[in-house]
Amino acid sequence: MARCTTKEAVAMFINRLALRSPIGKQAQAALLDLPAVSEIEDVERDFVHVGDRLSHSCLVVDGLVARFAQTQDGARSVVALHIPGDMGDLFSLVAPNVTWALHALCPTRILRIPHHHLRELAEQHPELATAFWRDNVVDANILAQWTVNIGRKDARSTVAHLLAEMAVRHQANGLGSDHEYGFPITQADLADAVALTPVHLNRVLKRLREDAIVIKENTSVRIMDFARLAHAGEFDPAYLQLTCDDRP
Amino acid sequence: MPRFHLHIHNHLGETRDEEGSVFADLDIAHLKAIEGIRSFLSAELLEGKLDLRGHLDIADEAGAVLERIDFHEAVIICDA
Repeated sequence: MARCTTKEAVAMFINRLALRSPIGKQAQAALLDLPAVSEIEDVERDFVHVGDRLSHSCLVVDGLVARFAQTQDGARSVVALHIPGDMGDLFSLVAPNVTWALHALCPTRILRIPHHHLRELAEQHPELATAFWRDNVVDANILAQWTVNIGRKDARSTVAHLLAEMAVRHQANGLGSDHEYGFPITQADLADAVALTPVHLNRVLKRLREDAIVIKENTSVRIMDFARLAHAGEFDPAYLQLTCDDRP
Repeated sequence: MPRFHLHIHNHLGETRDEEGSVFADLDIAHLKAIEGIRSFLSAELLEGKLDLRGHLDIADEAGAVLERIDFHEAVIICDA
């Protein structure tokens, strides 16, 4: 998996926003000039903790990040996955007391961008405020879709949907290809994201591989037939809002 | 902590767990194996069938089978 520079990651974030919201050149330039602190996170480590009060948002530069929700006795569940170009906790800009954790699933680099800079940008460039808002709506749409998947679909369909979604999200962020994308997630973490046991997930992945639909490798996903993957997962990318529609 | 591989053998053939998972010891691996067997049997039940012909092998990193769990051991069936 190619490593991104910090500028490339900010550019990916701008592209992610611009896919859905019109953003002028001045606003784009202001985003590229944002002061930020780069950090490398170790595998299996929280870099945002449950109960933190945040003063920055984290842009994923490279690697893979999970957002975990947690029960009172400490049991955790993956509720979101964030790839390079995503700012997984952008909404902490307006809700800084977090009830979830951000966790590096593999060696991961992030940019911490101070909230006050993001707030100033949103005030100076109202189109950015709208773009940030819409970006948060997409994250909420994804969470809603995951809820439907684990609540109403069988295991094969749920897994197929997630692998199709991640393919489309990688391509939207300018990563991966039609047939392959980097996905350095362990069987245990992937099982958690689709609410299955690792044993059950392994069996589902075997069936998808034997049906010549998709292969989950250790650090990547190889898609043999996207149309059949989408069909198996009842995947319709509409909830990802990949078109720029700013009409009132 | 050691890594264990939970390989399933049933009417569909063998599903090898190449990646494996890290557990504190064999007792925890046994509990996770039982949980795993129950989870896919539950999914089969939702499709209207239950096939208990099969077993799960817990293997160590070298491939040695440390324990074999028959699917029958994972559930209690009351059918009288």
